Amino acid sequence: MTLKDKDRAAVKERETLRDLRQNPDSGTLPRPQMTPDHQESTSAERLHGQTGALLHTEIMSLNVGPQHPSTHGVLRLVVDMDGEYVIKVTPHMGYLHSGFEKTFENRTYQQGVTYAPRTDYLHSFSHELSYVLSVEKLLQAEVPERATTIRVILHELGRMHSHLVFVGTGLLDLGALTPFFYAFREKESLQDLFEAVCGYRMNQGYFRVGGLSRDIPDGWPAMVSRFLIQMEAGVKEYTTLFANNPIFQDRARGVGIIPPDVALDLGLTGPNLRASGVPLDNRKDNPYCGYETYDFNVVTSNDGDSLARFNMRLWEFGESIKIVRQALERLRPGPVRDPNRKISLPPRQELETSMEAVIHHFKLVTEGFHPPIGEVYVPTESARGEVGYYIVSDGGSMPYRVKIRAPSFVNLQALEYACVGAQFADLITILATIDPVLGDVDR
Amino acid sequence: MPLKELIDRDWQELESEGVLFSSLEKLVAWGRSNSLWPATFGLACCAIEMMSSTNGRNDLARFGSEVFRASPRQADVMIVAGRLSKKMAPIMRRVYDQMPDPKWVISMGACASSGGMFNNYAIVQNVDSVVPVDIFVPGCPPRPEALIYAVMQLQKKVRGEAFDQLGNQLPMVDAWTR
Amino acid sequence: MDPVIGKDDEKKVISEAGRLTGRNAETLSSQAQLQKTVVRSDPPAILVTPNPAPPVQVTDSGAAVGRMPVPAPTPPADPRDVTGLIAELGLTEDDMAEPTALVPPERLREVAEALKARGFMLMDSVGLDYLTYTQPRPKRFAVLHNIYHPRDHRRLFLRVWLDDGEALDSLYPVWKSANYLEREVYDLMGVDFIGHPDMRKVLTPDDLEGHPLRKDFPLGETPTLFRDGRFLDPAAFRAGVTGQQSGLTGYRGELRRGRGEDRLPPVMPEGGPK
Repeated sequence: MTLKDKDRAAVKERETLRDLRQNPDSGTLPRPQMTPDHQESTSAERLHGQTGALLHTEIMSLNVGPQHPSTHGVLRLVVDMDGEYVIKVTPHMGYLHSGFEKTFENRTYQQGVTYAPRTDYLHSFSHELSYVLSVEKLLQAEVPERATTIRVILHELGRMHSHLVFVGTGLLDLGALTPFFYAFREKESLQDLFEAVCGYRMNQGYFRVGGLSRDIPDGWPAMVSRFLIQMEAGVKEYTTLFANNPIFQDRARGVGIIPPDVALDLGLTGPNLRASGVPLDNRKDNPYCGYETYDFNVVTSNDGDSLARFNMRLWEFGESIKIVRQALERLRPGPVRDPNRKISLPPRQELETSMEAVIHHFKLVTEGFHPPIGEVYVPTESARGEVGYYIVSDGGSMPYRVKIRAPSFVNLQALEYACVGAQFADLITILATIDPVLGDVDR
Repeated sequence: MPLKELIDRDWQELESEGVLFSSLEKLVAWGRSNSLWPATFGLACCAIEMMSSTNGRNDLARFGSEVFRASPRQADVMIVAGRLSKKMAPIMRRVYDQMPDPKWVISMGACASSGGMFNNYAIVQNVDSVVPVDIFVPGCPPRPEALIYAVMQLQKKVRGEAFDQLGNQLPMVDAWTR
Repeated sequence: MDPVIGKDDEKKVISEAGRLTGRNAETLSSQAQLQKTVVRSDPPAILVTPNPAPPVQVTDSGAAVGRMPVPAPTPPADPRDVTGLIAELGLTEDDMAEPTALVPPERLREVAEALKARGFMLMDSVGLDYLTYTQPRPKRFAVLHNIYHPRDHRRLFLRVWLDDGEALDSLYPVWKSANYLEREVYDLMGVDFIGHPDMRKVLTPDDLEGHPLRKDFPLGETPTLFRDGRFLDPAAFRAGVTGQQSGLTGYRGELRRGRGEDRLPPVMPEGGPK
């Protein structure tokens, strides 16, 4: 038997198996007979919570978390179950409540940049950018072109970072250990890029109100282009190894379907909403940082199941790579901070010659700037959905009130809807593909 | 080598032939120190770096600590990774109580060690007030290398090779502790 | 432009318009018509038109030079403008930076249902406490609902003013996403919602009394104890900047926040510091 014949035989076998799966009665294999009182419930029944499981046993409550490996941190779920089927899920949040919003009110505006990335620590640039954009809108600050372009690059790299952790740990929840090592290989390279530009692997705190804290190092754009090539190869690997894996597809296809109208009613945003077929993306719809000048697509899917939500992240890698490539071409030398001395610190060398610079430096460091009275909100698109900081200013040097619109918190409501009627193992799949970050949920 | 010979001959003579002598306590401590199994107690950002420490580049498995157990009953060391809120503190104490003796705690990150930047109503200011901590790791979050260094320091402590700030040798854990 | 247009000029303009064809000619003639009618109705003939057309320069030979008088292009209607929508719902607009509509508490449910019928979704609910705000506000609390249209991308904030102890209609019957959002406002701000099916705490521990984001709830900072027995109280350290009291630095930010005018800032005594 030659190699070609072997291939042909394998293809034939696969096709037979596929046909059997689609139409079990067509094949020669005998279909397992089911006794009348042992029927599988239809999906319609499951969606209405009437599980057709025949052993109508006592309904049991199962506690999952808050210390559980599959809950992405410290989420606690109380699951009411009939046999293996989930009847009701009650999430209990707040085990990571850190008082972000209260702390913001007691720090100056520039100090708040340190806090913002700690909320969503996987896509920390999204919160950082959103906070900074809101304060800049309040101040009417002018951000230089170069700073905006670098912000776009880092924002998209951060999105890739978040999706990489999603691919790694999301499949880890389903019992696949290998993707973790593949995804974290690229994640380490990505964190090297972050470290080169801001000196820290996570929770960067690199943006400042009015620009960036410092310019990027020499040779950094070349590092990014090298990483993009690596990333493209990586995405191909993920697609062939995991996304096309029949075991994974069997566990994810048709699980936890969220129709578009329900998704809008539940307030979903981000990839979870786009997986349901609603092309809502703040980068296109409410452009910030000049996103309207970049050429990219908003990927959507019409399935709305867990597989679509997983694929949405894989496809977004490609779009992010496209945006970063375009932004790298636009990098021109120039200032990276608003030259307004009332907002940004003077350069270090000026402090030795100019008295004014010393006064500005002292005032900015001890007291900070005073934005005018007003209330602002700038929506941005994070890896999880719409992030926005509603900032109320009373003219002081600290925000009067900061409200974080956290996408994970709102997205988590879909869990209660999507899990009803699913099996318990599917609950883990649905939770993994909704991809909440508990720091973002609890704030 | 027959057992009779082991008893009859001088121990220095035996050592020169490659036979090693140790107390059973030290042997147990050596075994323990090289298979510290952590309980996953990932809370916040530090949990991501804790996961990073097991990946291909950092490879915590070199020190025998890569087996993160979801159940506290199979773990020796609890890595408290992240900010501990007051709502979570009783749960952490319960998880700690469920771990079998002997057990150790690594407090990973500034938030767990001192409250860090979150000096407010919601965060426990020091994990040491809830469970006894052996190693504090600074950083926000600490790099994986820092965590690996902490594990190495803990191994020293388990083997009885660690010293406190005043230079006194810290006692080894009793081998027969329940 | 010379605001006074005599009859000779008017004739010239019309004659110019007669030669032209196409859209410009039409607009020009209509403008000339407009000017003419105004001139007739008001003999002193001082015209201030909203879109003044530039005067046409005419050479001796009668040919027009330079750009034809094109009316200033009216800006295209912003599709995200919600002023029309606010008026349609019978609400008043707030003068905040974001497009905000003031909603009376009893009309909130009705307005929400009207917005839901137009396809809006609920993005966020914000609770605000104006207890220590520098400017006077109608009531102490406000609840803002962040409403967004996913197709034409209009965004609208609904603001409801509330006093302490007043309850608000829940939007859960309208949008399911109000479930957690209103629970969060209840938990952190202490605003009660009528008609919410599951009004429990969501973020803070069950034994925490009070609502942390109210302005009279302390931040709860703990002083840092140093080895030699000294304390550093971070609240006192930052008090000068917050303006609540003078704190360690002696600087009182409350003057700038609009309070404490009766107290003068510390001035240096005569002859320099002792």
